Amino acid sequence: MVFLKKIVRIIDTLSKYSGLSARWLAWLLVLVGAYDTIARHFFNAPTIWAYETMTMAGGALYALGWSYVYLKDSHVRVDLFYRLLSDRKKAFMDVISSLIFFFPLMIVLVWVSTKWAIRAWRINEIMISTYWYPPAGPFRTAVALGAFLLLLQGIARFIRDLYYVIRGEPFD
Amino acid sequence: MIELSEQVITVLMLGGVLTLVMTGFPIAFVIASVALIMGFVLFGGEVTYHILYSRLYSMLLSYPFLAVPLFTFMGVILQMSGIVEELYTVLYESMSGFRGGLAIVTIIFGTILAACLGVITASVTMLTLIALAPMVTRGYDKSIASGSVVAAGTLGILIPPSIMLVVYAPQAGLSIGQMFMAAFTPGLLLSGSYIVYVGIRCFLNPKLGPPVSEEQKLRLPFWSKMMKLLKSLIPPLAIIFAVLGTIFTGIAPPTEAAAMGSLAAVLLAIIYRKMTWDIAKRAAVETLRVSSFVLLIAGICYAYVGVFMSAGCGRVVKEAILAVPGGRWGSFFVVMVIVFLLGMFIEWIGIVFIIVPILSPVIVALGFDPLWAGMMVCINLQMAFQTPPMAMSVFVCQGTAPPELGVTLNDIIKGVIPFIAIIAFWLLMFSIYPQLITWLPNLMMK
Amino acid sequence: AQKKIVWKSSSFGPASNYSQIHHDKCCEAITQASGGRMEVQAFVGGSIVPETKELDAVIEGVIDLCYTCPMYNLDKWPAAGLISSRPGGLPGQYLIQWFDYGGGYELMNEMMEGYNCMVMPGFLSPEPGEVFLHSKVKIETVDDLNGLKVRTSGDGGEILARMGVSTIFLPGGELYEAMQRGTIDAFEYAGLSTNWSMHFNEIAEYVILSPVRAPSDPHVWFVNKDSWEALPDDLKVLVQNVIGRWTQEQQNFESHYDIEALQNFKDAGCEVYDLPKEVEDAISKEAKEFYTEKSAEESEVFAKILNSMNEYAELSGL
Ligand code: NA
Ligand code: NA
Repeated sequence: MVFLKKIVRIIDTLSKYSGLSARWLAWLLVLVGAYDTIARHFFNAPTIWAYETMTMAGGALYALGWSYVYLKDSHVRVDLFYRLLSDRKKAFMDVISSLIFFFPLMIVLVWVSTKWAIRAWRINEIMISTYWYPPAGPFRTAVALGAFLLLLQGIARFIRDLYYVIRGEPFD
Repeated sequence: MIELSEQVITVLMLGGVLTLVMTGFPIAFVIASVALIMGFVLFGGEVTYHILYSRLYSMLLSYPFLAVPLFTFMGVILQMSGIVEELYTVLYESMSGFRGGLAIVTIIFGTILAACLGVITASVTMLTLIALAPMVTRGYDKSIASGSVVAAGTLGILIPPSIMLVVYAPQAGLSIGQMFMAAFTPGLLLSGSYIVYVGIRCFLNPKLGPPVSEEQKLRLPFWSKMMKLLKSLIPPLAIIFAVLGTIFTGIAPPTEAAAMGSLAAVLLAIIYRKMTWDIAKRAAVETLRVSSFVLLIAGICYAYVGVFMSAGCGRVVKEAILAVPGGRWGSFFVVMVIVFLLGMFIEWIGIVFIIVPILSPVIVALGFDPLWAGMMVCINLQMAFQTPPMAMSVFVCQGTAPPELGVTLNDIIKGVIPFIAIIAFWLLMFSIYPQLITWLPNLMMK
Repeated sequence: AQKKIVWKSSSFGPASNYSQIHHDKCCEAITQASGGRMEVQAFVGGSIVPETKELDAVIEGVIDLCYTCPMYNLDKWPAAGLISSRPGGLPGQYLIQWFDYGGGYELMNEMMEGYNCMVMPGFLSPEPGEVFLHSKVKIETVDDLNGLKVRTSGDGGEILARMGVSTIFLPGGELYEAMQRGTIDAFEYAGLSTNWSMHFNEIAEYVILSPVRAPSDPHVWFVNKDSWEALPDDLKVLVQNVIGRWTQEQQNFESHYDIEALQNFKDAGCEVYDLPKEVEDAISKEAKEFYTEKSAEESEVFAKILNSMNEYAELSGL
């Protein structure tokens, strides 16, 4: 039990810091977007790096935020019936739903995104929206990492819910 | 791999999503799982994994969608720093003496906010925080009060800038700027009708929205009132110029205009001495929270559509809708009803991403102007935010309202119904007079 | 009876794009010609995998066939840009000849080695050269390029940037408005007929013609190796022949409609003129330097393809 608690806490911490670090990409987006606009319009000096810097910053912001959002339970649910359930029944529903809708999906996503991240490094894949041609490896890795952290957070939630279903009291 | 008829697959895929989301599990995972399972059965694992991953990945890298984090960021900065609230106070002081005046002020203020903000949570949250308490504590009917807040707040997603339009346009092959243009008239007509509705109700029954007489004593000379109004208009006008001005004067396309708007919001907050380190951190994390789940759903729905189309279901839906009796209008009516019904249950992003790619070829095949039809769908979707059980605006209003006001979910739902009826009325009008939507973009294009 | 072979095929869309239209017709023609033994389902770009990622889908076996620009695959093969619309490339008819008989398709297969896809003779439609630029500003000298805000892509953009052009990146959907509102001064897109269909006469007064930036705009069919191997021999012949006919068909179609589009642009009040030779020469010179530098940095196959195309141009007296 102590061991489980420790694992869950570590996962929570990972999710938290993933979100809290990735959030600064939001500022990067604002500054790069505004810089490029001003440089182009007022100084006729457009950058070749702003476009893909922004798309990659945005993508990393979302992907690294997934686990944080799941930690905060902010992924949208249709709670028409769910809302009517007691907390323990909600936990029970989530245990079953996780087994069907979460784990198979996330295992696939982690696997396939890792495969493509490795491929990107192996073949020196580049981004080609502009002729800046930055490497795609780092971004593909960020997506795989985001998926992996989300899977971990799902495991932590699952442990919490299962504990609640069995014991009838909150895990922490 | 199993052989199923395309019709059966279509029913399984659409029905699967609609029933399984009722488990209350986060819809992104449910939708993705339906796609995964159906894809697995029909095409095998490898093919399905590639469809899911490649589509999710490309959505994460979408340039137009950067408007989601950027508009969220801008909204959060404006909301946390409170720099546009002064305008409400000024409007309040000049209008509270009339029957229903506060509700009208709320709608006017909500309309101005709508032209500043691109995301819905920001405008509904701000309106609830600023405008709900003054109405309820001064004896306004809770339904009228909260209905005005929700309806006016929801205008934020229709009146440009708007992430809904930003998201819709590329999906349907339309230009974002043209959609923005097309949305002004319907947005302002809705706003005007809301004011007329509230005014008439309160005029007929002053108990719904009593005039606030004691405020009248705060009378100021006309010119100093005007000065105050002008001063309070500076922040919202600066934001409107930073975003819409940037777009329409050609300084930048919409995505970068959102960045300019965010920068303007930060600069205003600094000038008004409201910017703090705490706001800087919270704005960033709130941006991450909102855009992370929005883009997950967007990417997942985009992936789902890949499996759906790959299985030939697009053709099935198209043929089914074209077969509706009553000619093209019959078919179009069915499309609108589908959008409305889906809007009751599913988050709007899910709808835009699932139905636009499926239905927009149908709309074109029916011979409707894609811009007009797209606008009709977006106005329709505006109702989705307010129709229970999945009513984002209603939830945000209820969640943000100070508990001591005693505004219940029922009050709010009762309050929004008339506003939904007004939107439905205008949808009918726009079908009869499509030029109400198309004249402004046509004017700008020539 | 033998089971019907079902293939999936995609171009990069949208549905109104000429390449997508010809792709769809070609798929239908194969289905018809096979007398019920084979069905090639045609999909619009973006409906199965994201637009322009069709070849990845072919490689992964998601679809069997696709019709796309090689340039969209620069992410894995930097040399793909050479067999695309690019400065110093071969003009249409020469490009077909080079591809079918001059070693082109073999080199492309060599470039794609290790990936589960292939090309064969007849699979390339060169399409006529692109419009040099649609512009709000008249370009008459090399100096006019300096500081001009141009929406470009690919090697052509990089070469123009080396000559002082302010290159700007925009999603295709935002192009029209960016021009109209003055965010950009000029842009490249495709050939005359496609550009006419996009109503570009409404946003740019000058239609500047020159093959220097893109003497042709090749679109190529790619097929999954396993799917190909699994075809009976007679169907292989059928598929290859039908594709060969439709690539030529698109070339003819676009060349014909370009003539018409040229007149349409003039009638609509646009000034259509040829880019002065002085500017063309400067761009050609810059392009030569660019590719010399680039081929020193890139893989062996890059230099091989570049040299092969250059030699073919020389032999042809271009
Ligand atoms: Na808005
Ligand atoms: Na709803």
